[in-house]
Amino acid sequence: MNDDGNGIDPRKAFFAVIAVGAVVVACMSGVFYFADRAGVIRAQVLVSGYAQTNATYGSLYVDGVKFITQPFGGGYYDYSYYSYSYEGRKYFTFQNVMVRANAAHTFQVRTELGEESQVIEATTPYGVTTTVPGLSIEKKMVRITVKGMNNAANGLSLTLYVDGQYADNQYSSMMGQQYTMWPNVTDNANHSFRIQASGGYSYGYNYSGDYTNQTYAYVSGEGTVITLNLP
Amino acid sequence: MSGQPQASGTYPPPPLMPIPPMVPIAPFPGQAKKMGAFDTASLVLGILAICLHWVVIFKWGLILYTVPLVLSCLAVAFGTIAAHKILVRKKAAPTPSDKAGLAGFALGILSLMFATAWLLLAQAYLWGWAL
Repeated sequence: MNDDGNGIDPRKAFFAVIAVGAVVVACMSGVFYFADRAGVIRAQVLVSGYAQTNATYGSLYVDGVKFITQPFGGGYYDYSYYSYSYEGRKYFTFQNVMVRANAAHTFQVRTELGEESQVIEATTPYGVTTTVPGLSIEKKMVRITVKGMNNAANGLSLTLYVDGQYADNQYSSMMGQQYTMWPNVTDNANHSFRIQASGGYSYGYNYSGDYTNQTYAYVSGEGTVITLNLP
Repeated sequence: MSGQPQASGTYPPPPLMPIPPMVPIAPFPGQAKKMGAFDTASLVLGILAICLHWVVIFKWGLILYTVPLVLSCLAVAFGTIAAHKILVRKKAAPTPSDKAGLAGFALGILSLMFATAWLLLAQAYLWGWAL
């Protein structure tokens, strides 16, 4: 009762309001604490990179646990990822990756063939999209030797193609001369090698012709030597 | 003087209970103190503070915190002046004006409490403060 006998005592009402406020604060603190412990507070991450691989699927691993698996290099695009191929590299993006906010996480991409990218650690603040670029799977490149005899003509322009792509060129001034080139190719993989020659002359006569030779070989290490004679 | 009635006691007769010199008496209806400047200011500032205290949950909550902080501090200050009689002199009869001041005071403390708590919670759990 109030001092004048009517209503609630204002002092009691005042202290009741403050007490209720303290209880509300305590409850909200508990809600935040347990939401954080349960991992409900999440942050968005965008992971991107490329893979030099024959694999068609790749998976994103967060903190060592498989998170998402998606196609690689097929020109896909939807709300969660896109992927395309360019010059032998399969570019990928893992979008809408939701992880626990305000924590450090490790990100890695692995292909279905077991190839692994490096591991990148990133902290994921709440409310912003954390970008993790450069998760790349690169095949080891080795410098090999492609050599052969020019048995075709003098003054030939030699061009070497590896897997159908231009690799190197050289001028062979004299028939009977050996040429040598050192292209860089991916290690532990099958490759096609094609030497193509044009122009040239023989025995004092202008002689124009095209010569080519092709082979397939498995490259294993720097010591691999490919022999391609002309013709 | 025979036949005259004799007074049986003192005149005027003593009251039933002694009246102290200062008695807190509720004002008669219509005679209560009208709302004062401090009461009104405290109530308005308290309402504004409680309405705006949630801005601290944003990322720049520490900067925005100044708004409810200033409002609630003013509400508490004015409310203290206005409701001093209720809070200190327990036997005082509160007028509506005093009650308004007390309400502003309570709102000021409440918004100060909420704003500080939400600021700390939001910054710690959402925006990554290392508390």
